[in-house]
Amino acid sequence: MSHKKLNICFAILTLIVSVTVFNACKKDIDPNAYAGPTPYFLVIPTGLPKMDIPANNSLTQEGVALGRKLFYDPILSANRTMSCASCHNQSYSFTDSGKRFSTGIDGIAGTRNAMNLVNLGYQKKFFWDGGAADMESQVIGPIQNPVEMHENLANAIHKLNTDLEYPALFKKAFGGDTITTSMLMKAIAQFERTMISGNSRYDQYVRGTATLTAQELRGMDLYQDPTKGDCTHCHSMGSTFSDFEFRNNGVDSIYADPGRYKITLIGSDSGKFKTPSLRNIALTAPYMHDGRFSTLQQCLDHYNTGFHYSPSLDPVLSVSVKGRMTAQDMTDIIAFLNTLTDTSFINNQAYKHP
Amino acid sequence: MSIFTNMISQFNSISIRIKSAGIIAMCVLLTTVSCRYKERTLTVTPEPPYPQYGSLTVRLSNEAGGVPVAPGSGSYTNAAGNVYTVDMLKYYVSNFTLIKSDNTEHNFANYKLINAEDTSTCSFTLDSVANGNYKAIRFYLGVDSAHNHSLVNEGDLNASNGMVWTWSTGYIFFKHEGIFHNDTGGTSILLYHYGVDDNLKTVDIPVSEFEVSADRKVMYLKFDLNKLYGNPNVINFNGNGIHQSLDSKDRVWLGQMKANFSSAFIFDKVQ
Repeated sequence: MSHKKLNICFAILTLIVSVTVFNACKKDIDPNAYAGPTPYFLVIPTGLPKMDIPANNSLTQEGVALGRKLFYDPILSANRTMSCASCHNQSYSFTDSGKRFSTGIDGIAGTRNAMNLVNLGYQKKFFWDGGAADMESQVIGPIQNPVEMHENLANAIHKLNTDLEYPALFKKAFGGDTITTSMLMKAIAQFERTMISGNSRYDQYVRGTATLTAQELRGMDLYQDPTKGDCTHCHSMGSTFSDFEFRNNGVDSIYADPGRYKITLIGSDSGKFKTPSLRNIALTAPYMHDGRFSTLQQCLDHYNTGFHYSPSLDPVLSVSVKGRMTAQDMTDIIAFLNTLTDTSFINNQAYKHP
Repeated sequence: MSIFTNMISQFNSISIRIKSAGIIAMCVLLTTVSCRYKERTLTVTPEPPYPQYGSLTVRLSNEAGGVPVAPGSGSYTNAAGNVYTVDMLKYYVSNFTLIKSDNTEHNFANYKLINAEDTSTCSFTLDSVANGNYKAIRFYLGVDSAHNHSLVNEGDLNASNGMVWTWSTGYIFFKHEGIFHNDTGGTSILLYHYGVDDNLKTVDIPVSEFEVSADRKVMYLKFDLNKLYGNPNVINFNGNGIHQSLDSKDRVWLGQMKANFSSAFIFDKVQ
């Protein structure tokens, strides 16, 4: 026999052996067993880091699709009138349509501005004060909060279990005949991890597929200049445009809202809030944890001259010179901030109401 | 097929081929053997000569001044003289440890949500309790920090059990809701929600020595609200009836409660 023939024989033998080995214990496999959901391959745009996804909640096609349906479904609120999307509107980078405070199902307004839902998979803690320790656990906060969806969680799960569609959808995504709270948390977290923005004009400029104007480039330099904007200490340049740390940015020296302190009870955490991402910042007015500023100019004015000194004021800001930016500097920085708007994100079909 | 052919065509030496065939033969052999082994173990499980373990069922009786608490009916009087009701009484006990007379400890990483309204929740069984003499028990009132920072849990730690904070990730360790007669002659709401890591309470209880000898024992414990609100710190509900956060106004109350939980759990008997 020639080598070629030998090779072919050997290949056939290998195939037979493989099938035999594979089938050896087949009698143990239940043919009706749940085959499991289809993995979802998350596409990370160039310029953004790898996303850490918890091992107990891998993204799946079925899980992400289910999370998307739940995100838009008012079934999760007590009177079936509000969904996550009620206060997180895609057109506004998932903030509440320009509102300072959002109003819950009982007509009561909250005390903090709805956060943008962009690149959440890179964040470690959630809410303005980091009260939610992971994305899955964050999900149930707004559902139960009396000034938001005001639903009893057990009741929400009961409604899902007695719904015509959800039991089958949850079974496809997670297996099991009964919907559990963990499954609800996991599904919405999966969808939220897919909400990635990385195609703004700034990103295109970095990738070499777009140009920025002279003013925008000047603004980009000023943004990073420690004697001018000095923005990058907290709003890290590129990638997520936030360090996601908790900082006191001097909006107050006496705190109506103690922020991070409410969670940690550490005195030096008074008045600290999470650094928000500046991606799509032009779409997410008003600004700050309580939405006190309606324009980016007011924000720049605050960091230039308006911040208040206090023991927990961020160290970097506490040594920043007041009045270090000219009016032109601030205008240029705002021009740069506008390049962070990602219209493909706010128009992405994959995030719309299914 | 073409994949296999391509793959195999890389094997140019006959000796490699022989080795490969040998490996495959081994695989077939192992697979066959492993399946047979599984069948055999099913039939010849040896019985140990005498079981090394028994079990201990812990039954909690919820009381106020020695009187069983009936959520939704009845009223009770605490050490401060406040007449109060119990509409809801729920709490977590976890991480039970049994301590032998020789001071060796046996830990059961368990989590149990006690709901006074539903007696079926007021007992739980620790399986595989090693034979021997026991003199004390230890457990947490609450949920340890390893499980208190994510809510993706099932069973008694299911987030739908009404025992999670909405403003912060974590479990409410203890919840008592009701009303009390206030000092102005009316009634006020009593809303006591206790929790967060710093307030996890380790409860140590000496018990009258008992032996486990491959049998099923039942330990009776009491949880007494009047002890919780009276010993050593007397907690007066007036102007102090609502605690459900971590604000500075809650600090004193949290400290008093944490201290009092030690006396609130009382050993009754083992049978």
